[in-house]
Amino acid sequence: MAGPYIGQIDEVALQNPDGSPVLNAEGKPVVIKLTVVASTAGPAPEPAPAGGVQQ
Amino acid sequence: MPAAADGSVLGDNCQLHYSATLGGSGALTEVPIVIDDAINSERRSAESNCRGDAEIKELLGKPKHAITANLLFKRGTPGATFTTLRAAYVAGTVLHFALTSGAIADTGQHVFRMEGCIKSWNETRGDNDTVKVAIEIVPVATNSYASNWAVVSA
Repeated sequence: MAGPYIGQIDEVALQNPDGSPVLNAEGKPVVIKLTVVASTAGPAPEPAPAGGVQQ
Repeated sequence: MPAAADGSVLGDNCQLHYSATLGGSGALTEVPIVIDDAINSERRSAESNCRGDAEIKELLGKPKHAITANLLFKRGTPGATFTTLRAAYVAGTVLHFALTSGAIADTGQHVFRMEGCIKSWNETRGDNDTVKVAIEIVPVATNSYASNWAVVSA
């Protein structure tokens, strides 16, 4: 799995069935921020240690 | 954006959105009218009976999610969403789905997202001018985006 991991934020636009963007009261496209709070991918993996694995 | 109401309220406007773009960043299109939508989730389990009558059940792996919902369309002119979803069902196309218990743009709204294909499509034409479609969405082996819950922030 490539995520989403817990804490990841996705920015997503909304669109109408005809493909046009959903607009807010100011006439601007609506974009929502989604913060992942639970995922079957779990938390993000730890970054690999610099310099590789010590023997 | 308005703040989502706390908890569950009778008469909440449940919404189902979909996107043909996989990976969580594709633009979401609302399915016009959705009723009785549900998230079903289950883990695999293994049972053993190695200590006399003491049965042991162990839960294994990650939850497998599925969505069921009834979609309502206008008879005769069901619209672009009906056509798109029906074509995706026939072709076995994987789509990205987002399910909420209220308006998806409300701050604090909880959104369940998963990628999958429409496993079943049961179309009924009751009285009046409505076409009712019961669908089940299940994950597929090629999924690269895990099912998840997210919260809308401003």
